[in-house]
Amino acid sequence: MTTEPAAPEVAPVTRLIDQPRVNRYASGGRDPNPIHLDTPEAAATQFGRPIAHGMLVLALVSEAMTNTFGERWASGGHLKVRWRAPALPPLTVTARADLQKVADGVARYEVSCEDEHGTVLLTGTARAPVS
Amino acid sequence: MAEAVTASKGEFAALERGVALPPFELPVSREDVAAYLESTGEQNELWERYVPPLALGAFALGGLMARFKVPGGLVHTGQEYDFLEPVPIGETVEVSISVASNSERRGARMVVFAIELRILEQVVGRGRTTVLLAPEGTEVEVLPA
Repeated sequence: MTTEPAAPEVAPVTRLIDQPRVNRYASGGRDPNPIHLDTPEAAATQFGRPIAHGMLVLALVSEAMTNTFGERWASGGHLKVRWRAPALPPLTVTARADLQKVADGVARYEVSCEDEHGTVLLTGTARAPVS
Repeated sequence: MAEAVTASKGEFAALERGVALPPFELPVSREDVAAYLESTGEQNELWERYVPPLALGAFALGGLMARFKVPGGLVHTGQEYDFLEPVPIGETVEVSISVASNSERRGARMVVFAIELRILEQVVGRGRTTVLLAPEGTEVEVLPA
């Protein structure tokens, strides 16, 4: 019988996502869609205000996995998510990754992002090689 | 850069599985990485050597949006990535995007784009981007990423 290596716990990452950060992501993340900015297009949505980029929210998950797995995240990481609710700035987002199992040297986590009110913004899975 | 292709809702609905957009090159400089990290707030010394893999994903999506003007009301509902090899800063990545599926559910059109990232002939990452085009007059529960 082989023993699977122990998988590390992934520390949560929490960050304020406010409009200035969203504005910076529009250029830094190359997504200038006006619904993310203070524009008539954003005001015309059902929310009447800008919506943070989903990829900016997802970046916190990747950051948490990088903090734990380092280069192994960039050379064997897997991420699969679905966005569940809009992120309306300003909000404080916490990304979590909860270990589910280790199989064949790969750790599998359930990942999520929530705001400070407990609203789930995204859910999904992440995998990374343990060694 | 090639001229952007604008798709009407009808054309978007008619996108067939396997249709490929012209591949494009994605050079990633130290300044590009710095701007990305400054916007997300992430700090990690690993990204002094390599491009954050999610930054590559975001830049590839940016390239898709710049080349394929999608209809209004389109929402980015899901995303999948396989990060296969770390990409050193300064490399140029070739991005290939094709339609992996196109289906309709309760009047909503769901399209999955498959994205492949290569350096020379080596695949360094793959992704699948799911977008939803809601029927006219409906509100959507998830919003553009």
